[in-house]
Amino acid sequence: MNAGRICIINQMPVRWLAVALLCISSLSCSGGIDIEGSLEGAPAIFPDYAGVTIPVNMAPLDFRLDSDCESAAIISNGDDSILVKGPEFRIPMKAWKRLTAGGGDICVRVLVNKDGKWLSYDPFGIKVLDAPIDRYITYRLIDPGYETWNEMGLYQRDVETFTETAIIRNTVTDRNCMNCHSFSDRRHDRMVFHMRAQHGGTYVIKDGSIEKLNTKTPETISALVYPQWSPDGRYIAFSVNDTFQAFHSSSPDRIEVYDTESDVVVYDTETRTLASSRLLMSADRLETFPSFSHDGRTLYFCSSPQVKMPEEYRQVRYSLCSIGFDPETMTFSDTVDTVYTGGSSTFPRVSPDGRYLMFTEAEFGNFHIWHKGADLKVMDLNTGEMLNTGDINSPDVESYHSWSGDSRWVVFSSRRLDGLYTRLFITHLNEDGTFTKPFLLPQQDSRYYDRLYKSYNIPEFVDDRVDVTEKEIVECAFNSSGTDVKFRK
Amino acid sequence: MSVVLLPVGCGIKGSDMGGTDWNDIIADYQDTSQTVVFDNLARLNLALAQTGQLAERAFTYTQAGPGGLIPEWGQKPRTGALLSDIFYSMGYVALSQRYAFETLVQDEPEYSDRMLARLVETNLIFGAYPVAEKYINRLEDRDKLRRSAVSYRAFLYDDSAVEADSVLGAKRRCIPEDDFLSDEGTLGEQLKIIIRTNPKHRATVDYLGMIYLLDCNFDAFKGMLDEFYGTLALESLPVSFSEAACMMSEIYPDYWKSVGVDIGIYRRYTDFKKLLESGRSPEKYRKTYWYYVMMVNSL
Repeated sequence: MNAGRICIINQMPVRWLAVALLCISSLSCSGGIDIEGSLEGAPAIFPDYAGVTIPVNMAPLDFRLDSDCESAAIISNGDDSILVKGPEFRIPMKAWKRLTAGGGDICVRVLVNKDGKWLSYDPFGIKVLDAPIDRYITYRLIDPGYETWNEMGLYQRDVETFTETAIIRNTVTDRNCMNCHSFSDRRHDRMVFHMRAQHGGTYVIKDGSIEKLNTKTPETISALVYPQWSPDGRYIAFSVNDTFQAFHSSSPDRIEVYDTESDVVVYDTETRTLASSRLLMSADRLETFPSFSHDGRTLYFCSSPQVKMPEEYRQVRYSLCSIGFDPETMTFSDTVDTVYTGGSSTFPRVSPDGRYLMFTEAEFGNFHIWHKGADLKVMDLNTGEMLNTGDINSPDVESYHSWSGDSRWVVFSSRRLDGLYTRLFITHLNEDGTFTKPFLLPQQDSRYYDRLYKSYNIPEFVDDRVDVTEKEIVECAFNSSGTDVKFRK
Repeated sequence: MSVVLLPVGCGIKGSDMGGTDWNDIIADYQDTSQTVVFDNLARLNLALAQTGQLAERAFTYTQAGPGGLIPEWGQKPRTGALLSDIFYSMGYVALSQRYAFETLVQDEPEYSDRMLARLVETNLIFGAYPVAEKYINRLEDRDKLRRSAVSYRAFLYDDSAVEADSVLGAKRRCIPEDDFLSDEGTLGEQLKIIIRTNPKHRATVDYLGMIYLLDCNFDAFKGMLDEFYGTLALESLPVSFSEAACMMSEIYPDYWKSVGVDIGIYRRYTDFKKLLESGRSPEKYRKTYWYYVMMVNSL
C-alpha cells in the first residue's frame, strides 16, 4: 500500500473509510496468493457492482472480469474472507450468506496474474444492509417490440437465490399475449393479469380462487388495461385505452405508442362492477395509469389534454393528478388535484408508508419504455419537494418501478446496458432522501443477460412465492367462458 | 471494407427460395401471366432494384400491382424477411429493422441468421452500437456466420468506418434529419423525405416511381417528376418512367418533351396507340408500361 492510496482513502466519506480499511486488512488474508504489486484503477467487471448497497438477503453478486489473464478475487467482511477464481467469479452461496450475515461492509479485491506475478486492482466495497427485501420479484419476459410476439410469460424470481420460475407462460395457452400483472400490497395471493387473443380475459386470483372476467362494457372504450390494486384488496383501478403503435424513421426511440382515447375506472372484486367519474372519463382529456395511495383513499392518475393523433404526438403532456376515493361507497370526490406538472409523467406509485410518490417522466407521451429520455422522479408527499434521483437515472430509459414493503428499496426497469433489452436494477432510499447506486439483478452466469433476448417488463416486488399453478390458470383459461363485468352508472 | 446485403436464398437458415445472388434470382424467375405469387414477384423486383434495373426493366416482366412490389406482410415470417430486404434496399432503414425484428421474434428460439445480420446492419447504421454488438456476439456463436460477424465488429463504435462503407454509409445517409412516424402520411410521402435526404440513393427513387406506376397514380407520379427530375435524384428518366411520361402527355400536352423522353420511345407509344385504336393486338408491346396499364391493369 503506497502513500498515494492512503491519501485517496482520506478523501472518502466516513462510511467508505471503513470499507477501505477493511480492504487493507484483507491483504493479510489472501488465500495463499502473494500479491506482488498493484494495478491502477478499478477492475473492468460486469456487472458493475463496485460501491453498491444491497439487502442482506440478496443472492451472491456474481460477476466476470474481462481479462485474458488468470484472475481471482478476495472477498472479505473483515472477520472472514474467501478466495474466488475468475474470470467468471461465482461466489459460493453458503460462503456469501456467511459473509453478508448481519449486514456490514464487504471488500472485493480483484487480482490478475501477469507474468507470474499477482497484481491487485483497487479494491471496491459493497454495503450490506441488515434489512431483508421482499423475497420475490415478478415480471413479464417479452420481446422488446414491435408488433408480433412468440414466447412470453409471467415469471417470479427468488432474490435470495438465482431461481426463476414461471407463473404462467403462453406456451401453455396457445401462444396468446399476456400482460399487465398487479398485486394487492405485494401479496402473492392477490394477483391480476390479462390474457389477450385466445382465452382473452382478465384473470383475478384472490382468496384461493381464479376468476376470468370479460371486461369490455358498452360504457367503456376497451377491455381493462393498466391495473393497480388497492392495498386492502377489494378494488382494482384500471385504465381503458385505444392504443396505437408506429415506428420512428430516425429517432433512437425506435417506436412510439400512443393513445387516441383513454379513461380510468375502478373495479370492485366483490360486486364485479366498474365505476368511474366524469372527471376520469372526460372527452377532452386522456386519463391513464391509475394508482391507489397507501391508504386506498386517493387515486392517482395521469391526465393530458386531448390532441390530434398522430400528428401532434409530441405535444402530449401527462400531468400527475389525484382524486379522492371512498372505499365504503365506491365513489369519487368532485374535484381533481394536479399533483405534479413537469414533462410528461406516468406510472405514479406511492410508497407503502405513504411518504413518497415515484413516477416516470419524459418529454412527451406515455409509453416511456420507448423514450430514451425517460427518468425516474420521486416526490416527498410530506413536503411536495422532489428528491434528487440523478444517481439512479441513466442517459437511456428508466421506466417501470416498484417499492419494497418497507418503502426503502425500489426495483426498476432500465435499458442502460444496451439501449434495447430492458433489465432490472435495484436501489436503496437512504434516510437522507438520496438513493444508492443501482445494482443489476444478479445472475449466477454473468453472461446470462448477453444471451437473453427478452426484456423484463413490469417488475413488482411480492412478499412470497406466487403459489397458484400454471395448471390451475390453464384450467380456468380453457374452461371458463368468463364473468361479464357491469358498469355502474 | 464493404458489407454486402445478404441476398435472399444465400444458403443460410430459412432461405429456400433459390438463387445465390441477385442476377441468379432474376435469371431464375419464372414469368407467367397466369399465376403471380406476390412474394416471388416482389423478390424479382427487389433483385432488379439491387442491380439498378427496377425502373428500367420491371415491366419486361408481368407485373401485378403494388402487391408485387411491396407484398402484404400478413405476419408471415418469410414475407417479413422479404419486406426487411425491400425496405433496406429502398433506404427506409427503420422499417427494414422493424420487419427484421418481427421475423426474428417469429423464428424464436432458433433466430434467423439473416435477420440477426440485418439487425446488426441496421443498428450499425443507426449508431446503436451496444445492441449491434449483442447481435454480433450471437452471430459469432454460429460457425457459418463467424466471418461476417468479425467483419461487422470492425464497425462497432466507429462512425467513420460506417460512413465510409459503401452500403452502411449509403444507408446511414438515407436517415432523415427530421424524424417522422410510419403512420404519418403515405409511404410515398415518406420516401420523398428519404430522397431529399439522400438523393443519390437510386433505389429509393426507383421504388417510389414504381409504387405510383403500379398504382396508376399519375398525379403522384407527376408530382415526383416535378420535384426530382433534373436533380441529383433523377437526372434522366429510366425506361418505365419515360413510358409513363408518354402516356401522361395525353393529359399534359408534350409532357414527354419536358422530361427529356427519347423520341424513339414516344414514337413507339404512338404506334402502340394506333394498334389499340385499330383493334389490333398490342402484343409486341407486352414488355412496356403501356401494356401494363391498358391490358394487365384493366383486367
